[in-house]
Amino acid sequence: MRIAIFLLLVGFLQTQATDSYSQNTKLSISVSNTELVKVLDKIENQSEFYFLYNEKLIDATRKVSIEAKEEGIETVLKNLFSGTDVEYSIIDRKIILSPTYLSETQQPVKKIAGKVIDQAGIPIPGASVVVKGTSIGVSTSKDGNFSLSLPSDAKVLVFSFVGMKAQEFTIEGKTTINVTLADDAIGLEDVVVVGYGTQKKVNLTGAVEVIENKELADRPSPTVSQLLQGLSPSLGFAINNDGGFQPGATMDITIRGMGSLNGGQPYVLIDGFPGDLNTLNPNNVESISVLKDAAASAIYGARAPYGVILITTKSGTRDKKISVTYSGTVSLNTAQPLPKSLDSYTWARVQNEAGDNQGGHPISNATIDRIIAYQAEDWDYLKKSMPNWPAGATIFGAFPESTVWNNANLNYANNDWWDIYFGSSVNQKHDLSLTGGTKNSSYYFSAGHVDQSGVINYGTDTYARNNLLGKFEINITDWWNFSWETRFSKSNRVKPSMTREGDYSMMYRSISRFYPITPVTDGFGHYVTESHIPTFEDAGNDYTDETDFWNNFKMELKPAKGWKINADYAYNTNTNIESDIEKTVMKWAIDESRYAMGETVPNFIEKWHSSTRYWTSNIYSSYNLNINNIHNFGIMAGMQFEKGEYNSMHGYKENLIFQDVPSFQTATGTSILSESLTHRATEGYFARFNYNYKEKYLLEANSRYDGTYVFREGKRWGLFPSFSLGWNVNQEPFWKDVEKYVNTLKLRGSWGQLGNQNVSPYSDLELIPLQTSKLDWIFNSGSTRPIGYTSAPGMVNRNLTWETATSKNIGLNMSFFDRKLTADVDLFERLTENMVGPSEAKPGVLGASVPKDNNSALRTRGWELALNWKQKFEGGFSYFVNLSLSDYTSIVTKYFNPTGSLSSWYVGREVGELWGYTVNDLFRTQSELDNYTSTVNLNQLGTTWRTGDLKYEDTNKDGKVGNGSNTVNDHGDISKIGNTEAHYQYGVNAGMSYKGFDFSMLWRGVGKKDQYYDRYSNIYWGFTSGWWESTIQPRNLDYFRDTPGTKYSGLYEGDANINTDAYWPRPYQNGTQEAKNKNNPNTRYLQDASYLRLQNIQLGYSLPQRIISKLNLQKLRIAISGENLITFSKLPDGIDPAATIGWAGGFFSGPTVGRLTYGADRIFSFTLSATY
Amino acid sequence: MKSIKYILPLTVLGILLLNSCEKFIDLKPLDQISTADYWKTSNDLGNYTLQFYPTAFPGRNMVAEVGGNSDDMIIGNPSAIMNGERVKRTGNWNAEWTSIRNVNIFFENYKKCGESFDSYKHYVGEAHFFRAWFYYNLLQMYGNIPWYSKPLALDSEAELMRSRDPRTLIVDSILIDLDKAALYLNARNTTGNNRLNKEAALAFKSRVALYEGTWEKYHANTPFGTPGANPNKYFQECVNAAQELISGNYTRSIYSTGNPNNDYYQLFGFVNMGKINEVLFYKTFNYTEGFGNTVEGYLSYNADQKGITWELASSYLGRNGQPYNYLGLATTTKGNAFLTKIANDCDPRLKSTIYIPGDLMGASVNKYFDKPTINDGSLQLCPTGFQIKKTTDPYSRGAAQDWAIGSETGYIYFRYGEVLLNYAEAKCELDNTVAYAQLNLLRQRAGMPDFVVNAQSSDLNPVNFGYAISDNLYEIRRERRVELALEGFRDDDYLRWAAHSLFKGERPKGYPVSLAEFPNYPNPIDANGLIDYYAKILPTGYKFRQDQDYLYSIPQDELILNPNLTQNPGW
Repeated sequence: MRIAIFLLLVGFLQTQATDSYSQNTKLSISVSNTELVKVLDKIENQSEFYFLYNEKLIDATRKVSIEAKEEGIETVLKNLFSGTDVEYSIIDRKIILSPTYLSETQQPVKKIAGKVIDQAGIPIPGASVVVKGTSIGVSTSKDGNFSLSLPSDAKVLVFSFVGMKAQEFTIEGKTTINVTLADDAIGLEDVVVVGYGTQKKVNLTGAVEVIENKELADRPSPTVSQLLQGLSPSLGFAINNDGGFQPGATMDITIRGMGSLNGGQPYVLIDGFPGDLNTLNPNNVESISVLKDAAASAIYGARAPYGVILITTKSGTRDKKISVTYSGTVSLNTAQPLPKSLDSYTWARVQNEAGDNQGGHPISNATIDRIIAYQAEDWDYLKKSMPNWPAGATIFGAFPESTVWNNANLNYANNDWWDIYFGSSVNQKHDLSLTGGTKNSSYYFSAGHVDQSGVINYGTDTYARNNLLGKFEINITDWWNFSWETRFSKSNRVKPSMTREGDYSMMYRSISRFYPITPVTDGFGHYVTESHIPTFEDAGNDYTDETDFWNNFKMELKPAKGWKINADYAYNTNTNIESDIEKTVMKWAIDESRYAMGETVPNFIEKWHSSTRYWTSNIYSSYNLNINNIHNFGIMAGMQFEKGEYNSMHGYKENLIFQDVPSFQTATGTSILSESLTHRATEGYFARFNYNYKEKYLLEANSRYDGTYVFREGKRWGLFPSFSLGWNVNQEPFWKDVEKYVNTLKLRGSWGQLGNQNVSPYSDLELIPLQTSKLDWIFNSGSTRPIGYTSAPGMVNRNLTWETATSKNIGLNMSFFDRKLTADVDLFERLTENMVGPSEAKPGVLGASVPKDNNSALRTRGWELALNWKQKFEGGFSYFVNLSLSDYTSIVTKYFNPTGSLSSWYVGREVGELWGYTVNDLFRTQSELDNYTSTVNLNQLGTTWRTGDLKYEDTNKDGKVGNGSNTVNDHGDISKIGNTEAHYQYGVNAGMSYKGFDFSMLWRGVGKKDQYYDRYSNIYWGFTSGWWESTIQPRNLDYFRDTPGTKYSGLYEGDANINTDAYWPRPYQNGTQEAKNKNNPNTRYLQDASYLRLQNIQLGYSLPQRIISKLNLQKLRIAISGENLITFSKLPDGIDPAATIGWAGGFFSGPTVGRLTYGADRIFSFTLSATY
Repeated sequence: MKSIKYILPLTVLGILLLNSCEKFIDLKPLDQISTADYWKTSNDLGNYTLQFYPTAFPGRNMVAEVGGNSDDMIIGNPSAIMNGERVKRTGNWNAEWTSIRNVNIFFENYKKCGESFDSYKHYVGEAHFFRAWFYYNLLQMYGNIPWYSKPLALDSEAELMRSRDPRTLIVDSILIDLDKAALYLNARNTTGNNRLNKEAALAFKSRVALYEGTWEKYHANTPFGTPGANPNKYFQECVNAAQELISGNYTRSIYSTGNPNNDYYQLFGFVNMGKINEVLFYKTFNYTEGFGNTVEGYLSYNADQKGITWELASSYLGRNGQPYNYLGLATTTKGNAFLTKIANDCDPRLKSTIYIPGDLMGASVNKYFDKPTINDGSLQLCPTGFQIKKTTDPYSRGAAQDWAIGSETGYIYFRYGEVLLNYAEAKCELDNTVAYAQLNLLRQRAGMPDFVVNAQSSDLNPVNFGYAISDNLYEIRRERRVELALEGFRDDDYLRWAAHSLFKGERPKGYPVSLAEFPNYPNPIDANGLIDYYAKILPTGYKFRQDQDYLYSIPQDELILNPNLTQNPGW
């Protein structure tokens, strides 16, 4: 082990240091009759020297005696090896031992010499050169040279080095052989972390993918889920909430798509225990294994229906001196591409034109006259036109209305609110780690800090997290290993408290619907509340403070060769303290007195104090048996227990008497106290058997028996088996001929079942919901609202149980061109049966949601492709290109929907399927409209039709447009027009490096996705039925208009206004008329929601060794990078294609696709990292 | 020592195995009560019926919410119902039936209460009232619907798949519920009028019975009527319920302080209506509880595209109790002068319902009504010139101020005045008698002469119900329209009267605008000089489809799920 690790290190360390160390270091050793290896250890412990040798060639167990006092290393070594066949060379702190083989027993027929270099042309010291079939060989010297006496019958030399592909050369009378060893791209010896153990990559039979640390480290995004985007073909990402890419945002991850109509996320394990990947410090991640098929994840049974993400954090290294690494990143975040604003005069006129169509002018002529005067800076006119203008007010834009300033449509300023609201922020990230180890122990310690703030100029919108990770591992005896890991994460989120008006995303709703006529301040320079700046700034904040603390203990016992017993225990406490401070916002009256904003009364404080206590324990044992290097057996069996308790206490108190010191102590009004208590427990038993024949034919079987508290007795246990087979075809003799074209080929196949218990517990019990909130009713005028009432129990299904996901996988791993190119292909199918999900529809007279049932099935089929190309050139230039591409389709294969209603799932329905009308054009002229409506009845969609409205096609030619009875067999004129699921997700990761410079970029995209926006999407349509909810941008101005404009209405005055060739339909300020044109999904306005984003681009430079060694450093790298700099998307600016849901606010109630979202910031950053 | 190798893991294993049994994963809820453990005390029952108050009575702003679908006022765009713009409903009606189920759960369980019936009978009364209320709402939308008195189970296949019960059965069941509610509910003098009480139950019963009686009478022999229905049975039920309230020992009267110019106006502007005996049941607000409304914001501050129609304004009689020549006046007198004149000449309830120039709108901001905002941006716009004043109070919180200030005006759900009108109408329908005593109570409060029946032919502002009715009924319907203006009854009224002729093919008009007051008034004006705000949008008037628009469509999915369910006429 040790030699492997040290040889690996060679790759990192340059060898240009002076030999002064070896001359100046003095050693004292006194041993007798001790194994050589122990003596070498002693030397290593006393000094910075370390030894490189091949255990096969050097007899390290030879007993030696030595007496040395303050001697130089040369002297010590001379003593140790005099009279042996070992020679040594000292290169700075590195000592290479190699056999001399001055054999007298064999007749040296000839000598052969040469040099071993890597693909970059750098000599490889310590590489092994062995005559095939013998133990005769040497190690290369510090400049990569070797010289070897050959026995007469020697034919082939084998050159090898850890991390490189071994090569054989026929001697055939040559006297010199120069060898270039290539990196072992496949990493035949690579070990992959799998469930409850590790597995050699060549022996894997399941679909497992590995993501390395270097792809996550030193990037400015704070959460692992954001950083994983684009790194794996099988992972899907989205933000399915209206918070968007807010500071500290986490993304929903799916593996191989939707597992169940019920939803569900992959099971994430961190160092073997379930955890939240978003509380991790990305820099602490060593590697991530994505277990994709049932064969790989079945060992987790019912915990892992939708795949597993195994995260291994960094650990210390045995026998290594302390090493300290610091890395820091400073970044500048700027906003996503933003929509454009209209000037106030244009805005007012087009709004009025929509009002002319229906709904009336929102902006009066008098106001428009003021808008014109404002833009012309005609302050005298403005003053005269507002007799009520207060004396002393000097700033125009706001309208005085008796005693207060107007907060709606009477203002006349001219503002670009996008510009006013959006700015930039400076963020930082620091990491410090310390690692090392002795012969019997190792340690790793890391501290990280990340700090992020939003890009809106007003209010507090921040996320900060501190991470600590400590690991300590020790061999108590040679058969007993113990390790302890402690992981601590504390995050703080502060955001403006907008809950009285909606939520965090309410900010975005407010910004998106801002009217250009709204002034920033009133006549005296005080913010007007309509600007919402006071609400962002003064309404208080929501604070979330989460502490996640893990203590993991692991033991590994090796009672006998090949037998291991593992027992581990983890304890987690998670504390979440949330405080919402809702202050009363004061407005300014025109006499500069202040008054309270109605919705912000009463002020209050609300807190949730939640804590989770959780423990889990695994105990498992494995036994590996190797018979003559031919038959390799492994068995493993074990069990897992887990138990968790969650309690949350919630307090609410009104009337903060000191708003600036918000606490329960400073509140005097009504208070409410409530709590929520839950607990959970599961237990599982698992076993694995694997066998391989010469690493050629592979077989594995897993099984798990799981029980959960979620279901009632009799329904709680499930058995989940899996089987997989593999064939390393390239190990077959007949492959020899093909090998030069196709270096390796492995075929894999698997079948397995997993369970899903992701439904709310106690769904078999009729529970009375106890409400502890205030009732929206008052029983005596002037009194308070009663607190506490009960409501009706939901319907239950006594027979609910597991849903079962059966998956099949066929995979192929290949490599070509001396392993420069590798290709991995997987085909998979997952059939989710007994699906617990939206259950069969019942007539509405039932009056309750139908409880979930195990009644349906979903089938997902898909494929994944990963192509990796890696090449190094002499002279040090290297580059790589990794491509990943995947797609899948989910189809409902069983569902109770006898009528085939399109409002619910039906057998054969594809997930994401979008039904809609066919629309090719608008009605351009009245005669066209009259002709059409004389033969086609459009009444189902609307009763009033005008030019500029959508011409819905009567596709089934029955004389009317409609959806028939909205069933599969009778769907009238609607048809499948698109699919809203992300298809053809792809990633491109490419980079190059040359002499200390490195460059990389990571692209991620979705090849196909459709989206339809309904009328509440103001970012898309511009106009909505309420003028106050519109976001008209220049892109929306090509709308249908057929009347000449005036000074007060229309985009242009006179006939120039007429635009019957328009792209957008006639706008109305009326819900019914707007709905008729916009709320029926149709082909004309179906949007292409595919996109391609440059997730990361990075240019780094590692300073050369000769400079940094003077600074006593091992490594120093500086880098500049950018995140999300470019996004190619056809969606309008303001809708991030990866986070499409925005807030439509109280008015339209609820989150809606196509509203302004907090899109991903564009981040420019600078990173410095140094290792000592 | 070597043996520790084996002892150690075996110990750990042993400890775990001790835990490992069914018990480990057999966990019960920690903070919830199962239905089996509930329903034991009267408190349990009371806490359960509380949930229905906000569900049944969600209203916040009264006039701004309830008047939009009538020929009494317009709010912005033409009413989709009156203009036949509704399209067939897709989706389902699950949400509409939730409350029915929830209240039926009460009936299924309340008998488990171990206390004496007296201790919880009020809650049983509440449950009966609420079931009646929820069913009445469904009845008005859908007509025939299935009646359920028990919560359905998933496997109640036969019940779930039932066809619709005739609406008369629904109404009969509602009336039984209301009888029980009146029996079990506490009287108003013990519960107050923010909680359901006997008086409210009787008032509600008179409302439902009158609704059904007239519905069956005027929709008879159409697809909307019930074959064999007996309207008189319902008129009698209405009379009985009203009579009980009128003559029984109850807390009710007509609010009057002897100031006819103000009493009617004041009635609707109180924050605390607890002592107003006319108000049988209302919703009270409290701003500091975060439970205010925006009544003032949407009336005295911004008209928000609302205005009373000419048709309502001209329904008011002259102060002498005789028809008034509004149209004649409009040819000569316009704008503010017109408003001032009719305020003087006509039923004082008119000037209590619309703003007259000079009216105080908000005392604290010293704002007076100058002229209607007929030429403003849509938020401020009063499209007809008759600007709504009813339910405001210039001295109340938020009067004439930004709606964000919030107001607390009480929201009346039942008042005695309505009961008198229900009584009068039912009585007249039964035997064409006029309940002079009851109607005069309303007239007297308003400062009008006693009720007399004028000949229809003498009406200078005739209304066309589409069929002939007696002079008595004609005059009683007028009184109802005037007294209950903007309280949300008018749309129910034209539906139950089958009276689409009131507005079909017509456009609502405004007041006679004065071009001197509004020199550049941009909207159309009709031949009589009245504002014709909808001239462009409704060139041929309202397009109500009398073959279908009397009821809503049954949502499409329901028809598919239950083939025994039939669609409403015309849809």
